[in-house]
Amino acid sequence: MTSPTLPNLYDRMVEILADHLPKPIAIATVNQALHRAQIERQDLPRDKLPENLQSILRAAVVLTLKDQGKQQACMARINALAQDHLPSPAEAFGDSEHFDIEFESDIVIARTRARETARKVGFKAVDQIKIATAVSELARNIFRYVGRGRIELHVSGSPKPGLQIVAMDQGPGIPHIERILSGDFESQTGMGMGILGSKRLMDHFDVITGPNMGTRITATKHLR
Amino acid sequence: MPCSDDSRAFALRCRADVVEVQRFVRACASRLGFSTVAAWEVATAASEAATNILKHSHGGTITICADDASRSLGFVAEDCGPGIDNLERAMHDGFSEGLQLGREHSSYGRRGLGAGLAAMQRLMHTFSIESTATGTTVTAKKFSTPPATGR
Repeated sequence: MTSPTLPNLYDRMVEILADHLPKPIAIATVNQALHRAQIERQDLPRDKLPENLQSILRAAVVLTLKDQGKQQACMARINALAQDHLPSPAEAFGDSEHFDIEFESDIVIARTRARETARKVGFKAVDQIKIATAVSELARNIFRYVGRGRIELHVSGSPKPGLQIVAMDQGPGIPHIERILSGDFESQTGMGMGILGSKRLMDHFDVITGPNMGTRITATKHLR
Repeated sequence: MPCSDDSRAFALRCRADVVEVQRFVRACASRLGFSTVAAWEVATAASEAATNILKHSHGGTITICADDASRSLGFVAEDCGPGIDNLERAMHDGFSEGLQLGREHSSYGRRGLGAGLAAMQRLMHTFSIESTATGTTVTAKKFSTPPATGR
């Protein structure tokens, strides 16, 4: 007698996305997420959604689904996929919070809360200020160049305790991102300075950006 | 170092960042009730620390810590440079690694005052420096009202 086979993780991811997107696009999105997470399809665990894949998938959902309701429904199922088998470090260690950036005052709120969260996680004062500054630079970038977007703060417990900032928007993307990040972009308008500045204040920094796909910046600082 | 919410960290890449740091320090100092001279002293020390980082390492950060409770203003300057070989000598006036290495070894063309670390110590109320092969951290603080010397 053969044991009933569960649909594998790959198919389940495609299935979730295909509820809201044409199937070929759902498949392409999952494939690209795997590529970005540097995971081969055959190496994909049977039931555990790896953390980096989860966050990339969530970003993809935000970027491809314009409808907020669909986004949330999709996000909830991805969360469930991760939670069923592997609690994400954020949930294991503490909490996640998010701030919509729409008005200039939202920048201050995000900054203040980021500092507060960093303090709770146990960062020393200097690192609290670095995190708060990075949040305010990223939020200001969203406010100035896109108009609206969102900042998320995730407290992570493993592999190393730390704080992750996710800044996302559905703007036109950041041109010359490679040159900005390598530091040889001479900006006349100050554009890019905030990004490079926040990169240097944090331990780990990753940007996904492109025309028509918005921007998602992930910046992490570990507890030392 | 305790600091209020309006403290700010700066990544240092070029001279313009140092100017930003100075401007920010002066704004904090005036808010905390520092005298013009004392504000200038903190701004000079912070700018010297930031300039040192530009000169001797490939970038670093300076965090300006304003503390409303103790009415103090300080900074923590960190880099991942090669560290300072002879800290004791470097603390003496007139010593400058940049001068010894020559301009071509410096990513930053202009020479400093050659009085950096010792001057910084004199300008501030507290000062400490920690230097290893993987980086240097300078921490300094000044109070708007000088602490009692205990003598």
